Amino acid sequence: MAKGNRLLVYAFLIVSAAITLFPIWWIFATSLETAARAYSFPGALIPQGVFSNYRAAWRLAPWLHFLLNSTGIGIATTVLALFTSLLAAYGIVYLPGRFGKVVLAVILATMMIPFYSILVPDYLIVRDLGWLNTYTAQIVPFAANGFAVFMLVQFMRSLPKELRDAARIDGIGDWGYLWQIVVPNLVPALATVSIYLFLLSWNAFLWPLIVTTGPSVQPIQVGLADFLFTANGTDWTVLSAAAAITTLPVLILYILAQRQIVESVSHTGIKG
Amino acid sequence: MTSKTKARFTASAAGAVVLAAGLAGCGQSTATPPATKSSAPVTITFWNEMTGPYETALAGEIQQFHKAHPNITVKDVVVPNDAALEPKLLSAVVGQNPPTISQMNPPWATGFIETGSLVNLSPLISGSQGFSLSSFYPNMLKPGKWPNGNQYLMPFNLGAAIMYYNKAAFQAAGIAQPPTTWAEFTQDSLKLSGPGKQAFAITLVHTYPWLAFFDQAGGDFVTKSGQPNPQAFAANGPAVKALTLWSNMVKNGSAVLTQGYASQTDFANGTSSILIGTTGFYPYLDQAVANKFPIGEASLPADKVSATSLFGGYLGMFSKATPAQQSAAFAFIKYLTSKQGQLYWMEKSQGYLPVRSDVAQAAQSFLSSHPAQQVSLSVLPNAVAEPKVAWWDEFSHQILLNDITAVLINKETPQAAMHSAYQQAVSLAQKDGTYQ
Repeated sequence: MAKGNRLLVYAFLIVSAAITLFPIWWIFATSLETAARAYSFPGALIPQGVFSNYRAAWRLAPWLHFLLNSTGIGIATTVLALFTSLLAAYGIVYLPGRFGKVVLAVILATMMIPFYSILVPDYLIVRDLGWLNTYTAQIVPFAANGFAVFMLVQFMRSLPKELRDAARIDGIGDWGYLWQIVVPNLVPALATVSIYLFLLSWNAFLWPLIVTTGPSVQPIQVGLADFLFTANGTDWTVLSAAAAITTLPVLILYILAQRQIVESVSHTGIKG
Repeated sequence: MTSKTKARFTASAAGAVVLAAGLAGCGQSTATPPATKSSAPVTITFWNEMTGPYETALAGEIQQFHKAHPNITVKDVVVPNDAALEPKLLSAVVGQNPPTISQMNPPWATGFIETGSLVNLSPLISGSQGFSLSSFYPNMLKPGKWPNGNQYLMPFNLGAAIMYYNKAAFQAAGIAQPPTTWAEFTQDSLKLSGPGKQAFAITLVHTYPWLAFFDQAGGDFVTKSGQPNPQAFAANGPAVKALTLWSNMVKNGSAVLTQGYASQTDFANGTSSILIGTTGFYPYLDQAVANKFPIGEASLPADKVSATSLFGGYLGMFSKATPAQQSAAFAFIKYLTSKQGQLYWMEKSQGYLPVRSDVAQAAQSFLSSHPAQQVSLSVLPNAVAEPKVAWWDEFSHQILLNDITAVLINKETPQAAMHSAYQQAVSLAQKDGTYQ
């Protein structure tokens, strides 16, 4: 690449990074501001070291508990949905019969049903099962996911047919082929689907709000909403501190797993 | 949840409430209150949307109540806002699993009353453990009372729209007093505006700031039969008049439409100098403005009549609760709306007004240091509550809000917007019913 072009690329990347980081910086800066300075510009961008906002935010809600709830629910949902999606996708792609496409179409059709129209029936089922105000109510209804099945079907179809023939010659059955051949070959794809499923669970708001009644089992989104939607105004400094507290673990996780996340996304781009 | 999705869900869930109540065989016309009174331990659940500073104040109220009623435990369940509380409540009622009591907007109650899900409080209020309603502000009680004369809801957290202004900016512009008429309001706003400054920062999270102007123009959106009132929407009617006032101010640069509560940010950093909101704004404004300039409070400028709008929530009790829970819940409602409970609520929440007139007399020292509450109390006699007809909530939160916004961003004329709003109100009334 010519030197001039490289400079342009770097300039573009620096500007993009600055645009991306600016709101995050603003949140952290506001979280360390006095309330009066938070409303001034550019004063609000220069942190003042008001750590009392963090103490106030920390006292307002059991953030750690909310975070652990979200993490636990997210991991359980992801593992279960990944398992069911793998089995469903395998059945659609590899099992004999002409109904694979029909089954996939039916699964995809479930994605067209607006969530709001099944909210009440789902609530009634969860109530009858005695799952109200439990983690189970937030995990089991999402243990199967149509989009995850669709994605895995696409990935599985990209595997060469010869692999299966070779496995058959070696006497490997469907169960063995799935776990010994398909899964190891789909690791990047599984990572992508896992991230999708985890984020879906992490960002869930309405369903957990409806089926839970207390912070003991509620996720972070419901906990944060108390601060985002106050009736008459917003305490920006404490809200920013609360946002920083809840963002920090995710940010650390992203930094630690950055390589895998980027790899999985780029793999999706190539194969998808 | 967006207002559109909320409205879509509300419509389907409201239908489900009626269906489920019928299937469950609890569709009597009015739920009968309990007659038992027991001192055995009882737990009641109270769903509300008292977040932030109000959550702390309510926790204090509950603590006070527990001291006086050691056998009753109130389980406080806080939900972020009414857009979240409404679907949660509807799902719970459909699922025959409602809380003992809940905060709610009167239009939600219409469906609950029709299905017998809500307890008629009148026999309890007039019973041996009841209380007098004579001290309550009649305009606050009215939305909780249905045409059959039954009081289903009791007022709890209410505020009235007032005007906040930047005293230093007013002084610098040579304005001695806050405006008292629409003409003065427009003239003063022009004087206070200039490059980068628009005097009036419009808050449109809810419609109540605009409804105050509509009320002043003599408007009433609902006829006695519960139908949309065509005169209110007419080209020369009060809605168009109030919309024209605001839209002209936006066009001439003396007003600006803001998102969320960004109007408070504009006010605090001095780019605007007039805000319209309830007493609930004060703690946030006080904190944001700090000592940058003195904040003034005044009643809203008047037009045809001197009026303001009431905004807030009511308390309702569900018939699914056991008789012991209903007795305990009534004791809790009685405490929350008592003189003692309301005094505590006003002083600690610092955002809502008392729902009874005898509190003001007992709160003289508090009011002398809290001018926002003082001004709000002075305008209460002229405060107009929102209609409680079933179609109002969706109309107000979605259609009216969108139409006001469309006019303020110059996408529609006030006349066209109100014509369209009327058509939609008529459709909504056909869909949701006019029961009130």
